[in-house]
Amino acid sequence: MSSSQMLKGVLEGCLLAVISKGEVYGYEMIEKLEAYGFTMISEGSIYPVLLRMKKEKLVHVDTKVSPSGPKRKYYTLTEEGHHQLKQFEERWLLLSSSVNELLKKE
Amino acid sequence: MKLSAKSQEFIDNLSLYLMTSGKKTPEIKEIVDELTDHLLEAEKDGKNISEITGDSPKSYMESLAKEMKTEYSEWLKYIPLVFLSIISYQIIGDVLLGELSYTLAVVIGQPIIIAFMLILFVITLKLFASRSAALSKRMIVVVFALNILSTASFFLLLYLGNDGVPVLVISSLGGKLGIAAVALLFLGCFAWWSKSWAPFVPLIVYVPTLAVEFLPLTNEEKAIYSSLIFLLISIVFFLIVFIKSRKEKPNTI
Repeated sequence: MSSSQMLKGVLEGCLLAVISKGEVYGYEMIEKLEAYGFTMISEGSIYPVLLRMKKEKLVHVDTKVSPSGPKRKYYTLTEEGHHQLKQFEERWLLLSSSVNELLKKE
Repeated sequence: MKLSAKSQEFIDNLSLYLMTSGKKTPEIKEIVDELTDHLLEAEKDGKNISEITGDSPKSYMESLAKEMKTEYSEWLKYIPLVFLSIISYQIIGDVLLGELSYTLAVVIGQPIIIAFMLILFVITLKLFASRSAALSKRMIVVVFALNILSTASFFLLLYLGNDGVPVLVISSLGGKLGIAAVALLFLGCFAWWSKSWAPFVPLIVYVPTLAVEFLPLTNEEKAIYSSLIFLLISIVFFLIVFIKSRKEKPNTI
């Protein structure tokens, strides 16, 4: 299993976490993710996830004129988005500690 | 700032793909703008388009389309309009140049063939929007064969279909003018609604024939002159398009 396949399921949670740190637009999210070491995803893959998150009202989108010229979509978390992020954190902690434990014993 | 040719091609294909997949125009514009912005920044950082779309642009387009609402009504509303336009062109042509008399084969066959051609046209567009490696040679051949077949049957019906006994004949001047007025009114509404003159453009094909119709010439001479005029109009048209595209080229590179 490639790491990008593994990441697919948790990408939404990671994006929730990135957006929770403050208003952010698409390319910035990629830069932030890369700074944390997420270099294994193809950059475009965040957009289908963002579309779904917007549809599920986890994020709020503001279209503003960027300093460099073109209009840009800025994302912030909604109430529901914060709630989802909290759930993701709990699930991730449980899952990652179990996986770590399992791998340690082998 | 401009996108590289490769990125621009991807963006163009994406809009076409989403459009033929029945997505709403404002939503398409939104995601296309967002990705264009992303690609601009990525190229500034020296990244390649494949780092953005992954290995397969086609499956990437599909993954975006899957998250967008499909509303074929958005697209389908054009089909009846184009359908009725084609019928209108024919009626106007027949009023101007020929007779309004149709056999059963034409009355039934023609609308079916036109509808089939339109649906095929949408499918063709969609196929070529997602194209690239995913599009096998066999599929291209099949689509082309179907297109040629439907076009051929259209013209075959046009020339042979009227040999039988007419079931629908309008011969009175009032009737002819009335039905032509309905057709023109429809085209007028279509032009007004789409805010362009495009719906009237196909009527140009009748101009040459009409131009020589009242000249004191034999039928053969009329046929020769009208095809010459038609050829001339086509050449002028292509020259205009050609010169225009030549002018635009230096900017896009």
